[in-house]
Amino acid sequence: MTSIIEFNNFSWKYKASKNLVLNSINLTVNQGEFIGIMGPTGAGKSTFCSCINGLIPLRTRGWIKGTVTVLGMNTRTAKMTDLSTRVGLVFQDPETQFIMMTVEDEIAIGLETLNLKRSEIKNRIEWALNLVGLKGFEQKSPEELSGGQKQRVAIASIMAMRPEILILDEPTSDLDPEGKFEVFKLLEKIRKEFQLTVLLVSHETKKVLEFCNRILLIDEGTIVFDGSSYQLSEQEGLLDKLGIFNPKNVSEITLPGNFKKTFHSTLENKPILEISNISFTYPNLTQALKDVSININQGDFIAIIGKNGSGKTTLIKHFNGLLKPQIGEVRLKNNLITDYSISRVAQIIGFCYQNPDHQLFKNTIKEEIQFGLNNLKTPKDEIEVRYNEIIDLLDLRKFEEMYESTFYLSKGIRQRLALASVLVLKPDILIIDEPTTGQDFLMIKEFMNILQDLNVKGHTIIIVTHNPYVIANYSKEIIILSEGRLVKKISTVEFLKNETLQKIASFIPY
Amino acid sequence: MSEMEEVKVGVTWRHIVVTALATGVAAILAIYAVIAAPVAPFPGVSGLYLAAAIYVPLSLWLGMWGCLAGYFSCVILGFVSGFGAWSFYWSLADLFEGLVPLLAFRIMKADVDIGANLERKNELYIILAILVIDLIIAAIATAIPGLEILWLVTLIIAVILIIGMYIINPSKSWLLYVIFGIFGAAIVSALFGISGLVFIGIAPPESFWIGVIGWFAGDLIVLSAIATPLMVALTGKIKQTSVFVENWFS
Amino acid sequence: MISTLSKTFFSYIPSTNIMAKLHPITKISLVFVLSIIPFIMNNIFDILIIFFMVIILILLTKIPLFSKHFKKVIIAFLSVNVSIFIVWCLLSEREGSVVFFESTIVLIKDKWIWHILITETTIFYAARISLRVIIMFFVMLFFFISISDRDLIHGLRSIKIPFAVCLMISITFRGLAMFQNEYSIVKEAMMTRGVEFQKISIPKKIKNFISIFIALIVLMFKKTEDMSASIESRGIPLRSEKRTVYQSFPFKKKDYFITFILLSFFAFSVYLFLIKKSFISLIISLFM
Repeated sequence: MTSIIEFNNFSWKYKASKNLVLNSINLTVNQGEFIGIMGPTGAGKSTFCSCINGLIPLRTRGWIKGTVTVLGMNTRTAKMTDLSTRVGLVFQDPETQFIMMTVEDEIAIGLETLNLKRSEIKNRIEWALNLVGLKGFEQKSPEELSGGQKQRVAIASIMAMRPEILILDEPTSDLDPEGKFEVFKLLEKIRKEFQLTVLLVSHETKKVLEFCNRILLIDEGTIVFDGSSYQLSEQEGLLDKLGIFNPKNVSEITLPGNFKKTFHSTLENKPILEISNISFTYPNLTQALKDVSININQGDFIAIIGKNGSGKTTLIKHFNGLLKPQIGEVRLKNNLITDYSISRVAQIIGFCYQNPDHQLFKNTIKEEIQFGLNNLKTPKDEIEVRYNEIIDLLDLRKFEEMYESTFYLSKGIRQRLALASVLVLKPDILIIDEPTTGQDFLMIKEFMNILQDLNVKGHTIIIVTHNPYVIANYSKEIIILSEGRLVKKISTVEFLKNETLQKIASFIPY
Repeated sequence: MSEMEEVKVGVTWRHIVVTALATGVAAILAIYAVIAAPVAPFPGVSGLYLAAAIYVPLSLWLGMWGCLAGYFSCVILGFVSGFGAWSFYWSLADLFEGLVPLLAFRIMKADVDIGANLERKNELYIILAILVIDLIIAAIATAIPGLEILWLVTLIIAVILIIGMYIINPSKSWLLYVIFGIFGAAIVSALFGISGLVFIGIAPPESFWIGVIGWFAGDLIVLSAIATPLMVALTGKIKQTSVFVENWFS
Repeated sequence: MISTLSKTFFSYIPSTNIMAKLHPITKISLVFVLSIIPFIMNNIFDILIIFFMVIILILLTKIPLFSKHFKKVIIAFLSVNVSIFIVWCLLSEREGSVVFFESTIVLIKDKWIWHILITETTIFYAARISLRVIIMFFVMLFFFISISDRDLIHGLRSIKIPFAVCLMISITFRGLAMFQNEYSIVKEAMMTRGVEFQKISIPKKIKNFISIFIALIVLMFKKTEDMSASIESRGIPLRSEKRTVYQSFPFKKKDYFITFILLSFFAFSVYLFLIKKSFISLIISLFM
């Protein structure tokens, strides 16, 4: 077994970080190993990956100690081109990995650097697309591809370069279940057919334990565990301690969780939101919703699920009037939604986007939370009272003191801040679009517990999600959409017993 | 920490990518700004020209790359407005808009973070608002013959206001920003931009001064009302990123 | 081109006719020459000749000029054009034999006097500039419709423009598409927090814009990190060095021919400009 990656007492600190991001890492990786890397957010996993293909330190400012030797090259002195053509790195976001206008061009630019003949480049492109199951996609533009397809193109462009080491940094975090499935299937294929050394960073614990013969757990810049998945299973509680999802809790998925005391609505018989026979077609003539009717009662906790493109996001945008149906009507508290002004709707329905960066507009936490209240012309003393309530409810006060700007907050905290700034308007209904993308298990649990508490207090929660843990443990009812139609509205308990419905909804339990 | 070695990198793909993406952002904002408030008879000139507010911060954060982003986004705007090949010439006005403050800060070796240790923000903004109005009146007085006394008076007031700002907030950065980042950028781009339109033959020569005053006033307002809060709020954070440019290109 | 800029503005329309078979560089040269020449010509009849040439060009590309969204674009453009015409009439003073309108408006006593003089020369000058602007507009329309963003990049590579520049252009196109999407999401997110966008005062518009700016700039910096990491990780060097060019866009005979005609035409127009003669007068003298 030849060692191809060696970390020797390696430490790294970014230009802007206060503390060491990687702390005295000592590690040897041998050829052919398939290593799984897990750890909480901010542990240093991505930094670790970037150290292997030379991004750190050849292209990043910071402070360094120790050495990393990859394929016989010292990463401090090697040429970036030499390293990165032999070490492939696939990132999390399928969107930003696509820089050219077509799939063919995208795969070709890496190959051009290798100075191959045109005919060889053509062959490799075909081979790579075949490998990832996208044969015939050469002329497609990025806009025509789904997230899963774009991510497969990213893998294709790396594989076409025939790297010796393949690193995947959370390749499925931003994808829907179908996308995740496609990518893991591809990884299985790669593992069987090629003699690559693979490093996989992922939150999908079960998959990591399945695929990898060696597991690294990283926490706060150090390796806290290095061994086989069997050895890991003997270390009771380590996964839980680090806030990593433990597949031993699989039973939590097959049975619904314990719901806390449910809120009894005073409007028990009257729905708060009535959707009647709505159909919606986008200006580009895609019909996204076909004759959908739903009633949502106060105190509900509903998960809306379905394949990508089934109309989930279109549907929730009808709930708060962002989109208006061509046919049918939407009633909020008995009145047509079109009768409400934008500011009035904002006070009744709060909307949280998938990416918190889309909804944070101010520099400080205080300004952000007060933003909505200022828009609604709330009196100053009322603003102060509500602000203090919310910041304590969502445990954000300590971040306010630690960070002068929202720019520095981690994704999980930014998401909590986004929720706070919506919640401060005291809406009756909260709509949350995919809150779990790219989050680790601990953050998901914390966020969902907050939502559950709000539900007990009387808020109606509507959440669009793919996450099986969330669906099984928090939602009381499920709305399943497929191709723009409502398939069923069913209780979670019933759904978890019905495999046909699960298949339609692309629901894949852990 | 003392045993650790510092790693510095020069120009990387980061700079190319940020220029390209900044061009994209600025172009999208410019196109929407022109749609929201167009000003006839100058196609491509928006009454608010909100995107201009991004060129000065971009050049101070990203050096020459920021200036280039401003230039290229203006070229794109020009193309979309139907200017054709002349966009390449006319967009130089926006290149200069970013270049003037950049040159000032680099030559005077000043820190671009105007928000650091900013004292008495509210008073400063009020003085700035008065200064802007004063400068617009000065511009009108420059254009109309026979108003020399008014011109002199406004100029004296401007100097007093600037000294006043320095007394309240003794910061070289703030001073340079107001003089070159607001006033300098506005006047240079207005003069170049309108003379460009006249030279190409799209605007009648007789409209020169009206055009300059309009462009100058618009830029002053936009730079003081939008660019300034952006600079104050974001510069400190952007300085921490790997892409922040300390010299010209890296 | 501009399938990435916006579907609301101009969209690339693929075609199989003569226009499609030209090299993108030839099309770019057409655009350059035709947008500059009208400004070198002083005779309105010369400009009209160019105008008709451009109309033929547009017809060759089969742009659906009468479709709904083109109509909107053309109406918007025409209104700008009309205002250019009016401003020229009102502001430029040209002496002529027929005076259509004359007026003196005193704005500031003895200091600022607005003298309006509309003669046939004024109208002529105004018409000339309007025509020039119309030509430029149609030429740009041609540019957007007939060149796809991909062709533009490969066209530039074929004339040895450095790869980093071409990639920068490609990323700009991707950026335009991405940020147009981000812009609408951010705007929507603001509406869900009670921000009104219609019928608001200018200070409110400015405040809204600052919020959108901040969100977009933060997104921009994050995407920069991700994208540049992805490029570096594929080993693509910043400086060109030796690299294969996969897509080949060879120049054909008709490209050389057309480019030659264009450049000659351009050179000839410059010559005529310098000797202060016009095409029309030359043609007339040929027949006399």
